Amino acid sequence: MTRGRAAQNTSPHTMLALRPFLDPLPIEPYTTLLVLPLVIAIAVVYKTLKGHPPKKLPREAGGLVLQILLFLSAAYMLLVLIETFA
Amino acid sequence: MTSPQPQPTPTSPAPTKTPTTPPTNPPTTSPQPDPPKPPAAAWSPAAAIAAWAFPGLGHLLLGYRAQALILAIALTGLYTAGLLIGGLGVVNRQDHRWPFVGQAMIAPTFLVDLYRNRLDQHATTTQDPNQPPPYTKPLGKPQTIGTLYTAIAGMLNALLILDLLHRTPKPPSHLAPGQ
Repeated sequence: MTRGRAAQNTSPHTMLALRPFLDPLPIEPYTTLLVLPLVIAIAVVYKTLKGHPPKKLPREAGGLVLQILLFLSAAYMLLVLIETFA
Repeated sequence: MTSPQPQPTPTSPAPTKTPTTPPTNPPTTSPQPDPPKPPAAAWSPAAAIAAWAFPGLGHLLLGYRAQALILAIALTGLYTAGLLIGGLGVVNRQDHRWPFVGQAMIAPTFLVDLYRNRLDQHATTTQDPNQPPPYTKPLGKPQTIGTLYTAIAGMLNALLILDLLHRTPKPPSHLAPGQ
């Protein structure tokens, strides 16, 4: 009986391991952190296209990353305030 | 009848002996050449097409090796991360047409879409209930973030392509190892 119930609960789909690039990743707890790679890539590409020498690139891109994150945080707080008091 | 009298010609004063300086001859050296003008921006569609085929390849063709490496790592990493987060289902020309416009700025997107279509066709032809689906369609946040990553990678590559259209090739003399 127990064995039969276990066989019902374990379908072939649930027994499969995660297949990279075929199944979505379980990212639910980390969605906020996933803005970081996006912002870093945007800053690096922008500063590279502006012609900054590669040696100065980490400093320049880091400054831009901080600016973007600062404005994103400000926009987030503004939206929270609007939602709270409006 | 009066004959015209010759007009007295004004006599110039006697030339005085003054120490004359020899005439300055023009310099025998050739005139200074103009400062070299910066080379005109070249129209390089081949580099732009190469960048569309693979991010960073256009900069590599024009001699900007360091920039090519940085751009290839940044854009390929972002695009691959999007595919990893959402799976193949984030690239779908039929269901997600507008994000596909951004994703299509990187040419391998068409290969990904073709491969996903083949998986769909294979799944519909076999229809074996014991077999798992060839890929899982993403829903919710994985789909949103995967689509966002891939579409932004494509749009950043569009910036690269526009930059390459008017970028002057780097002179070979400036090429140094690691540059």
